[in-house]
Amino acid sequence: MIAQVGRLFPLGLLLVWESLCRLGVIDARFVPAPSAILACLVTPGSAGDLLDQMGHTLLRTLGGFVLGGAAGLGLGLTCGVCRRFDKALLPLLEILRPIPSVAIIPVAILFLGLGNGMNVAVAAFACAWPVFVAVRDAVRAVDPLLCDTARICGLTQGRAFRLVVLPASLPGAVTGLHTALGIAVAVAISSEMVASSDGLGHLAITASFSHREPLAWAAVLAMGLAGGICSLVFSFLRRLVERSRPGLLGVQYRKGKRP
Amino acid sequence: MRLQAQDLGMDYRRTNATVAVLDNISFTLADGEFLSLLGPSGAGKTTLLRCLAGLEQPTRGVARIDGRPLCGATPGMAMVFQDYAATLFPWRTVLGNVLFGLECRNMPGSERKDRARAALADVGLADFTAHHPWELSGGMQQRVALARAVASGARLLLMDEPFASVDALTRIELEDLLLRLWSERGASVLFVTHDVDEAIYLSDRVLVLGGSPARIVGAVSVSLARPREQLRTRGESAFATLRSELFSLLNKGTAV
Amino acid sequence: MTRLRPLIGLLAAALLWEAASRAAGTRAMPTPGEIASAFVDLVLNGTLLRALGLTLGHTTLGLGAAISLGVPLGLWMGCSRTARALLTPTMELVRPLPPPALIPPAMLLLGFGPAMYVTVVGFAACFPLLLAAMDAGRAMPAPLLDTARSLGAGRLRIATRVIAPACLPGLATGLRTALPVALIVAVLTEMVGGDGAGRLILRLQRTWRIPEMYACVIGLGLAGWALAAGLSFLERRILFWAPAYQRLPPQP
Repeated sequence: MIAQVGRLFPLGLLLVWESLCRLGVIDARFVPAPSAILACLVTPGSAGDLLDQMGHTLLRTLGGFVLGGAAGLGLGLTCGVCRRFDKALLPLLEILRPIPSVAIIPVAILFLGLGNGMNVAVAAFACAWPVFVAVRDAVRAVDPLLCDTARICGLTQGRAFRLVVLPASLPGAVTGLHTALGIAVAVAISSEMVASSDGLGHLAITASFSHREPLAWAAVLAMGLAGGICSLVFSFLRRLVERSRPGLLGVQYRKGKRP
Repeated sequence: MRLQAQDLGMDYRRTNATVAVLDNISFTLADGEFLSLLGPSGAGKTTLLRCLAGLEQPTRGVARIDGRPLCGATPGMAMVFQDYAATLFPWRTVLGNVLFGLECRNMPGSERKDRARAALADVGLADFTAHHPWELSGGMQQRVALARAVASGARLLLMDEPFASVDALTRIELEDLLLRLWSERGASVLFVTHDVDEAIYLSDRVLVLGGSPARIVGAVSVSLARPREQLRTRGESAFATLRSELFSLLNKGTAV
Repeated sequence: MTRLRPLIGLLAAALLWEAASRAAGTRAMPTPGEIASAFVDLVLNGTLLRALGLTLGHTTLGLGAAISLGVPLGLWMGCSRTARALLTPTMELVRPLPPPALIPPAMLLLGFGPAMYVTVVGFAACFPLLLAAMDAGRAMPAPLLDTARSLGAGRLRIATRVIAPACLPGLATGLRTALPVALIVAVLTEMVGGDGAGRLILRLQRTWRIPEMYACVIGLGLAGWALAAGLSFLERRILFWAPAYQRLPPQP
């Protein structure tokens, strides 16, 4: 019973919000009613606009994710496998890592101007870190027994890496990639807010400044949708891989069922 | 402290069904008696203990302490669990842990410290008061748990397989320590275990739980001489007789 | 020689930058020397420190709000199945919103004062803290609570003397995750229309004072590092007893 109430709770909150707006308790100039936001979403003009901008944002997210993910993977694998490289690179990375990704935006503007490249570069920078850390830790955490088994079977270093280390670190890498995806969305939107002429971030800011509140809030909703879509696609792909190659992305035991 | 269980029953509500865990449990623990509850793992012994401690409300029946019905945790009781690491507060020192039981009572701070130190000395940990629990071995941690129960002045000790997680040699030490504390303080002890020999060695009486839902399958009186000694008592012929009696009761319980 | 090895990477990077900067010859890539002197200048005339102070202030403001709201809520949801059932759907609906999402709506509503940072940074930092608190509440070992209750501890004593300390390690992990998020959203808010290091960096870039801009970026990185290091230090002092810090027990 409580579960039903829980599921209806958000709906209830929306109804309270709507009624407070209608009663004039909430100033509709600053906080539009949910009905107004919804109207914005379904009106062809603004809906088309929102979809356009969401497309831009998603493209930049994808670009940043792919670039940053690849960089993080490569660097993480190298640092995980080769201790010397890791030690040599460590101080440099420890200096770059704490820099908030948004602080890189002006640097990126400097080199890449105000186009898509800038957004992708900043998102890639932010994405690379969680992937790097996850992959490096995953490689380091590969059970030594697995490596010993590989050696006893007579595998060369290269084949051992490809056939043992790589698959064994895949689950950890996938977790890092999942985190990175969320970061890519957020950072892409952030860079749009600061220095782009399109995208959901830009739309939300300009709509807010030009007092088109429903559109601004609708853009915020669209941001959530974009994030949700990315997460869903990722989970879907992951499930596909898990179904076609069970055990590849980590084993999850469920009660009584075999994985 | 006298404990009486009358027709206790416990059902757990799952999503589709109701699972009966305990049924028709009735027994009396006399003041100062050492009573063991013997049964296989998963038989519902822990559930019963929690009901008797007032931590859970039984579905049927009632438990009484000194004649009064039990409602919620009652002062004068203390519980000792099998997983000592999960019951000792890692952020407090050994002394701090023993003090916890006393902080809930009204007495001056110095008296609390004295009682805590005395309890720790009683269990042989006088030199470890400033250590933290995770710096001690398993046996020593369980001794801290015992000291905490003893220091709180409990008249009824509820113990849930407290020695199951320590090695055999440590277990022997702890069993004898428990017997000494019990005979010195005169508290009543309800001791849950799955170890037949341990039940016989420690208790005045052994109740056997079995079946699903768990019921009392039988009771055996242990009239071996006190004070008990590890080698002498376990070597007596009466010990072997009791052991076979209890094993047959246990088998009857699982067959039910 | 082994102790100096880590510095080799740094030195190599600095030399590479120097070479690239001279080769490129563009103003977009000043030499490390120029950046270093710009850094010193900014520190000496107080600009950088004032800006960083503002940013750190905004960050802590938001974190404070996030802790005050997220931790009790998360603990409640962790310890109470009813609360979990009631609030999880709402939480799952709000969660996909990216951290910067609240900036545009909050902008016009609240202006760029402290309230703005509390709301926006607080919202962003809230979720990691809430989730960590929920996990900590759920992972509370039942025997710990049982023992406390059987020894006669009342609800208040259990909440303050048992639940609170037991949850601290989990909360510290949540704080460690929430800190960078809070910093990022604070800097972003400043870039969009506030003041502090975010605004400063953007302004320096737009007025083509490039070495100062890089110096600021590095300064911001240092500030972020200092925050994380401070948290680590506090964690080690206060949470010495948490499993990660336990020493092996001696054999009796």
